[in-house]
Amino acid sequence: MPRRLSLCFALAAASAAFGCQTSPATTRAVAQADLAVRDAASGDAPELAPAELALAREKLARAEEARADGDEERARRLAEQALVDAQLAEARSESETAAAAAREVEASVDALQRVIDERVRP
Amino acid sequence: MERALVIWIGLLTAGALACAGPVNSDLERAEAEYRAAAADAYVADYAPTQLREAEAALARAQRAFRADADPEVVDHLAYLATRRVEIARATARRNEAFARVDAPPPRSHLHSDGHAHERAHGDGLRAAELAALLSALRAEDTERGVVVTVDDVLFDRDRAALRSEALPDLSRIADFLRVHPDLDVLVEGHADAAERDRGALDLSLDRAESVERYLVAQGIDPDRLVTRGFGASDPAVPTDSFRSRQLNRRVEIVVVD
Repeated sequence: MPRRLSLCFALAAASAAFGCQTSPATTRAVAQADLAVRDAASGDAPELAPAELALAREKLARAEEARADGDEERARRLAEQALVDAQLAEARSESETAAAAAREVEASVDALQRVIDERVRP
Repeated sequence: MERALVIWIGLLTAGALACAGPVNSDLERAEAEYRAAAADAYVADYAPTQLREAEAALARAQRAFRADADPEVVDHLAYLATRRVEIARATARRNEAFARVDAPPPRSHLHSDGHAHERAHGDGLRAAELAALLSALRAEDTERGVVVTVDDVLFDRDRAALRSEALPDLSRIADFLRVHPDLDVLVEGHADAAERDRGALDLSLDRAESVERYLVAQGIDPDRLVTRGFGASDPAVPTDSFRSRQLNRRVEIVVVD
C-alpha cells in the first residue's frame, strides 16, 4: 500500500512536470469503470459471464495505461467501453442466476401441483 | 463492344452508390439491434429504463455520425449503444424471471386438455399460493412424495420445543393444508448424532409431535397427520461441524403422494 501510494505520487509528479494533468472527465470515467468491474467481479460474473468480465478488465487496464501515457481521449473511450462491458457481465450473470432460481421454484410448484392433481382426480 | 457496355454500367452503379452517402457498418448494426429490442414487448415491459438508455446511446452515435465526426468516434459510440441494447435484453430476462417466481402467471395455457379454460382461474390462484409457500420453504420431489423442509424448524440441543422462528413457516404450511383438505402429511422428526442425553429416537419423535401439536392447534385434522421419529439415522448433511449438527436437528414434512 505505501508503495502504491508513492507510485501514485510519482505519477502525479511526473504528469504535473510534463504539464499533462488528467482531466476530471477522464478520471471520472476510469473511476466509474473501475467500480463497475469491481461490482461485476464480486457477484457471479466470474463464473457466469467470464468473457464479458475479462473484456471489461482488459479495457480498464488499457484505459489506465493510456491515462498514464497522457492519451486522454483514448483513456476515456476505453473506460467508457469497460463500463458497459462490466455492466453487461453483471446483467448477464444476474439473468442466469434469476432464471435458474425461477426454474427451481417452478419445479417445486410442479411437484406439488402433481400431488394435488392426482388427489383431485375422481 | 458488349463487354465495354457492361463495364460502363458497372461504373455507373458504383457512382450511384457513392452518391447515396457514406455508411458506418457499426452504427447500422447498433440501429438494427436497437430496433429489434424496441419492437420486442418483452424487453420494453421488463427493462424500460435500460431500453431508454440504449436509445439515448444510439442517438448520440447518430448525432456524431451526422456531424461528420471521426469514424473512430462513431464506431466507439455505436459500440456503447450496442452494449446498452444487450444490457437491456439481459436485464429483461432477469426481471422476467423474478416476476415469474413472485407471481406466477396462470398455468392454464399449459394444459392442452378441454378443461383448460374452466380450470384456469383456480389453477392460477393455486400456483400463486404454492409459489408463495415455496418462496419460504423448499419442496423436493422424492419417491416418498413431496418433501417440504422448513429451514427454520430447527431445535435446541436435546430439546423438542419449537423455536419461535419456525412459527411463520409452519403457519404457512397450516394455511396450505387448510386449503387442501384432501392432502395428508407425514411429519418426520430427526436428531443429530451428538444428542445422547436422551434417546435420539425419542427426541426425534418428540420433535415431530411438537410440530403435529402446532398444526392441530391451527385447525388441521389430526387424522391427516402421521408422526414418525428417525433418531439420528438420516442426517440431512454430514455431521462434521456445529452448524451441520444444528441442521440435522429438524422436522421434515412430507406431502403424501
